[in-house]
Amino acid sequence: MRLSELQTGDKAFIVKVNGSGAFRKRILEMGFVRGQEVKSILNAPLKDPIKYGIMDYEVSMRRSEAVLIEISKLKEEALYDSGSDEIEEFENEPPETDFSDPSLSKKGKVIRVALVGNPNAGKTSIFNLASGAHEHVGNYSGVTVDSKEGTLRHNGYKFILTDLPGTYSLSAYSPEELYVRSFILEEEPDVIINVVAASALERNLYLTTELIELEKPMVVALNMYDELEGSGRSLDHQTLSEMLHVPIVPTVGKKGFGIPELLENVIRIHESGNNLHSVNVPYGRVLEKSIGIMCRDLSVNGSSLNMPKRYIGIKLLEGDKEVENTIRKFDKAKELLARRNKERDYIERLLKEDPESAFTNARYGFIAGALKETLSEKTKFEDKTAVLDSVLTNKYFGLPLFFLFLWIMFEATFRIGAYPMEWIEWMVDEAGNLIRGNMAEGPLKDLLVDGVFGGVGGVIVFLPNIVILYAFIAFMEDSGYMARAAFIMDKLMHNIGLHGKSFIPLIMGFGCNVPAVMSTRTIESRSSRMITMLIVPFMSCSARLPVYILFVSAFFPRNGSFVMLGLYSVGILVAILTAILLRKRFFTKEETPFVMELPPYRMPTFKSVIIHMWERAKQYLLKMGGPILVASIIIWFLGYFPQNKERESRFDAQVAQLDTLTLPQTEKERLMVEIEHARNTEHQVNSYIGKIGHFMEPVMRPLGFDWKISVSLLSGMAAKEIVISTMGVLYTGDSDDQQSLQTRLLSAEHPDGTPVFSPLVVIGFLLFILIYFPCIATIVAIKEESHSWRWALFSVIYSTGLAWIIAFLVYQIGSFVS
Amino acid sequence: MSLQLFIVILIGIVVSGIVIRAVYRFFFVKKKSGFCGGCKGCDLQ
Repeated sequence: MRLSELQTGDKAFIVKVNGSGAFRKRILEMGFVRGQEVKSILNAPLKDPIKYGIMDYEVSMRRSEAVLIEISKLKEEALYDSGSDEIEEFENEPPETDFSDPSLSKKGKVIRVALVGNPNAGKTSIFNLASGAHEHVGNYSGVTVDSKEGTLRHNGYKFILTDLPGTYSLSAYSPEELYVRSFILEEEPDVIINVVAASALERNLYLTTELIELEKPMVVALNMYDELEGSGRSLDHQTLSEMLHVPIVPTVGKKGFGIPELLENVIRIHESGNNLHSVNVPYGRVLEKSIGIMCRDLSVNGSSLNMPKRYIGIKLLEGDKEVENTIRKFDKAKELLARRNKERDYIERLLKEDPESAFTNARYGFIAGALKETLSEKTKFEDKTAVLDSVLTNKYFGLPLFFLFLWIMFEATFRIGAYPMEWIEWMVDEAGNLIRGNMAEGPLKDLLVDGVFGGVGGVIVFLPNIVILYAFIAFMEDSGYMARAAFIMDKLMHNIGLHGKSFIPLIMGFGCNVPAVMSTRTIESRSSRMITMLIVPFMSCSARLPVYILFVSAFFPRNGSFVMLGLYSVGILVAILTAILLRKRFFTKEETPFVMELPPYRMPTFKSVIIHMWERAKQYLLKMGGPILVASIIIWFLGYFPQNKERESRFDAQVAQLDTLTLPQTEKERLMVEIEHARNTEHQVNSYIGKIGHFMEPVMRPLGFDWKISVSLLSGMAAKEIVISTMGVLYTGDSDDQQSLQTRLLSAEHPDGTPVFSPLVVIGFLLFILIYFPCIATIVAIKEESHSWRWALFSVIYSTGLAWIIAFLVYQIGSFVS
Repeated sequence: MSLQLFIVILIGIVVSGIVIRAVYRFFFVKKKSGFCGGCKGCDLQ
């Protein structure tokens, strides 16, 4: 029987995992090992993928992947037919080391600590709490995609903490696994803190067994201990600590519980230095015999690697390519690998399973044995995750609820954000008028009024909208709904050649495209990773939001939320079509199917959401004081210079002449406005920015864009907010009173008196903003993640070309029809 | 030269310095390679 055939609500036991390569390795490491109980929980709204429960956690898997797993309803049948290689549990007595022995000599006062653990185990929460940092945390796998460093002091010691990306094992299949392993072996941290999620202990301890084999000083942080207690279970962590011969400290990273004890244990371990002896994971007679032979051969060959021989032997037998490549540099590599192959055949023949499965089974066997003696049975079965999932991922309500959530998000961003936006706008206008009314005429006054207040002031008003959008994204991330969004969208994503996990970077892209592109590295398949990274720029980032709000509230005030939702939907549609095109044209081969962990729902704490919002607000304000201010000043300079005295005196003469005329006051004022308008227009046209704009105009004219829009789009390549600050500088208006940019845009006219922003131009402009590449930072991120300038350049040319074509079609077809 | 023009020129010099520094750092200064491979995305953001 196959796992895909298991009915919803039914349970069975794993017999065998078929398939090959990364999928098989990952699925084994996640606990799909022989004899393990698995339950089919529910189907996604579109019938695929399916949510399964295994080892106290939940995982999403497609039918096409579940079909590769053989199951049986009878446990005996699942265990039958396996090789008779019973594991001698804890056969090797752990050597005695008293962690609290004060006689242990004091080592250096600086301790370098690496935080290692499964994805979503809470490493970053502990890191933030211990080091006082505000690194982003979320309730889904793969939030940390980079290593972060922080320092703290405790009991006279300085700790240098490194928060590493989450990993299920130390195999060589995904970039983060390789990175974590090479960090431990090459950077050699003094102590490893292995963060273990207490709520899914069995699976999390798998990585612990691998870390034990590396024989590095280690402390286990039993994180989210409150969740374990909440399920009515108890863990004798002292006994487990003695069995693994590693100190285990219960912690609750979010609340800070157990952190001082954890640090004290780190100090003890550090001080004990090389006196530490770790326990060997017992693999049973057959595997131990092969490991012994490999260790002997490695000793004979005199390996000088920075890994224990036993670890190298195990990894060679498991078929680890990275270790194999290292071994190939040895003089007697051929003999070693020939011996390895012989031992692999021997294992396969005797155990009737491949060595990879045999080692994984043995590790899980060891963990099961240890937990059997230390972990009590679950007594409380109240499962809020199951209740919430029955609604939020329901086959009828799942998708509508998701789109309702998105609509509420945009409605709140647009409507609620409008109030504080008005207040900030009023303050900016007042500040501008204060300078306008009290400062002597001159270039500095112009710079302050048009450059700084016109440019930066035009962008800063959108701060509340950005903060509200991020509050919703933070809620999605911290609650665990982000992973559900990926789960319910998987089938649709599959149809465009991607999988649900690609959906997470896409949603993150609504916030900022740069971290979204970086987060694609958690996708194992290179082809899916590449496609996801290239379509992320079509997700409307928060930098584009101010442009949308400005134009939507000015030109479509009645249907703002729907227009906004429409823009975001067009972005998603373009992304989908691009993904299909890329899959058919450039990435025809899907390399790795994907299995995704579904974390339990957790109520986001008020503090974490506020911190998230504050961090984003701070970033936005820093951006205002940095790149936006600099860009506004540059645009102002380009627009203000060169000054033409002859032209100015000609206009001054016209003004003087007007003063001498005897005309009614209103007529005089009207003529004065006309002269000032002509002065401004002629000055801007002859300025440096005017020349750049006119140089670009022939290309942009077919889209209905004037030179000012063209220049704004050009400056927006640095960052999208600069589009607004540039418009703020260029569309100065003619009034002596500081007007909002919205008013200035509404009154902008061509020399012939027709409005610059006709509905067709506005729609084309918004679509251009949506589709052309978001900013240089995103392009650099694509280059770094794809390791190729070629793909970064492709993204620039493709997105800009597509934006031009779509805006052209909108304007030309629209003009033709109307 | 008026005081306002003098201040504006000073601001121009400072801004030019900032831009030249940013361009130089972007092309010629390699960040210590982390897991991200030294991507400049965060700096630019």
